[in-house]
Amino acid sequence: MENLLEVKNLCKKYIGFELKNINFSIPKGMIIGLIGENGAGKTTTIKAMLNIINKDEGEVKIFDLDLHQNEKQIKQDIAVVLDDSFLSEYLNPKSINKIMKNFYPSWDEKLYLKYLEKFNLPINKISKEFSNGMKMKLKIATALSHKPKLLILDEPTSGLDPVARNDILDIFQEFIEDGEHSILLSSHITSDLEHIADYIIFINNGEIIFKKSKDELIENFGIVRCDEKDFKSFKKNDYIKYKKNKYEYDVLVENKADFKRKYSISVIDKPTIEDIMLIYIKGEK
Amino acid sequence: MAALKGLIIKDFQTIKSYKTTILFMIVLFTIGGFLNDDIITFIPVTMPLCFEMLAMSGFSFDNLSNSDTYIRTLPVNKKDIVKARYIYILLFTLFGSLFGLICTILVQLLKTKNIGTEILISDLSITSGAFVGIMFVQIFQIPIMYKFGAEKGRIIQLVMIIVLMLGISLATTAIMKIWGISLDNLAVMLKDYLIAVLGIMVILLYILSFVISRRIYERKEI
Repeated sequence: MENLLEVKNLCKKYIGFELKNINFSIPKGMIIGLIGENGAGKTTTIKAMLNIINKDEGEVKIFDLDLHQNEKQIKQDIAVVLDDSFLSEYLNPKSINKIMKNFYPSWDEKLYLKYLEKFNLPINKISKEFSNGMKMKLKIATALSHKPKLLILDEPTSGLDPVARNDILDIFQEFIEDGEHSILLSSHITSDLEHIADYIIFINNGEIIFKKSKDELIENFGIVRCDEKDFKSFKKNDYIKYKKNKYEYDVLVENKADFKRKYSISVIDKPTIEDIMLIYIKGEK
Repeated sequence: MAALKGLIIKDFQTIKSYKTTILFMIVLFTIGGFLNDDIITFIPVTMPLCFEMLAMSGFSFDNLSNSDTYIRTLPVNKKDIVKARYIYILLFTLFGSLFGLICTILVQLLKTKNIGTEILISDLSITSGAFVGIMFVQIFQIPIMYKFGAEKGRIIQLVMIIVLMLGISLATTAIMKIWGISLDNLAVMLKDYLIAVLGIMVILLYILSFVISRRIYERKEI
């Protein structure tokens, strides 16, 4: 499978935080979800891999080219949507059109206007007067209008109401349909990723905990809800982590079928991505 | 080149939200100059100064929307980002100087109906002198903004301007004392070369300032 993006051994050190040996790739036609709690390193990973911040070590290849040596060329074909950063809020969508067509020869003014209309965004109103949802829609409209091959989104659905969120997720789904485009989507709203992501990368404390296909996570992983007596009968190597609740234990297992067989347990719950993330972060071993 | 143009257009489009303020400023200076002769002399200096302050607010606009991070995701390199900001500030200050000159001449024409070549040359000298002076301040101002950001930078640049003025005046007095030159002699000595010498010096320092700002920006973590 051809990769649009490859990150190898990406490291970045700050006082009190370190991004450690980040490795992952994004194949063509896939939506990759980057999950993790706030401060886990999702945004730092995106910033370091895009050369927004200077990385300490590592290699980033996009479209098979080294990003450091071909930054301008590569960035022609990618689009980035950041939760906390965009052009000045004193600009209106009309001005943004005038600006952006200088950066991208492939900028499609008609497509941009079509998105503005679709998202009900007034063309002459400065974005400072927009709601959070409208601001995010403007960022997404801007990102899609030069027809990028790779879309990188940092928390794109935060601040959106459920209807707008659904509309935008549909647009993302359309974007990758031809099998030539890919999306890296960082979010702490894991239900969105359950909707659309093909693969999930879970990052915690600056480290990748796992990279797995969403189906594998939901179908193979399981949560055993049991009492203390049952829990004590489990071997440590047979589960990932557990969380002790008031009356029961939630035990996260990687292969629920094997676990069922080994311990003769009849019911193992299907976990959500949020359940998995929570037990990984809050659980013990 | 197109990306550079895009960055400059971005700053001009952003400052457009101040178009009423700019228009008000031009009208106010023109009326003020018409009512009071003393104000006419200040127009070629104060008008570009106001424009330059507005241009410097580009740093604050970027800071408010955290635009720097987004801009680094666009197909531009860091050198272009700094270069575009220098060109924009210089162009906007130049517009201020041109508006100042036009306002001054307009007021003089309205008041005296006919102005001679001497007055025109004097207007031009004051305008170009003020422009070079503002450029000189920018040489220090812009790297400070890049180093400390819009918030801290504003305070530091105020201190810098005071220190700079004091430093220049003390250094000039000391040099004149050591070499036994009076202020009149100095003016005569530099008369023919003053503008050229200052002009070349400011251009060279401006380029140096750009190189320093670029280095600061390239190393800056945002």
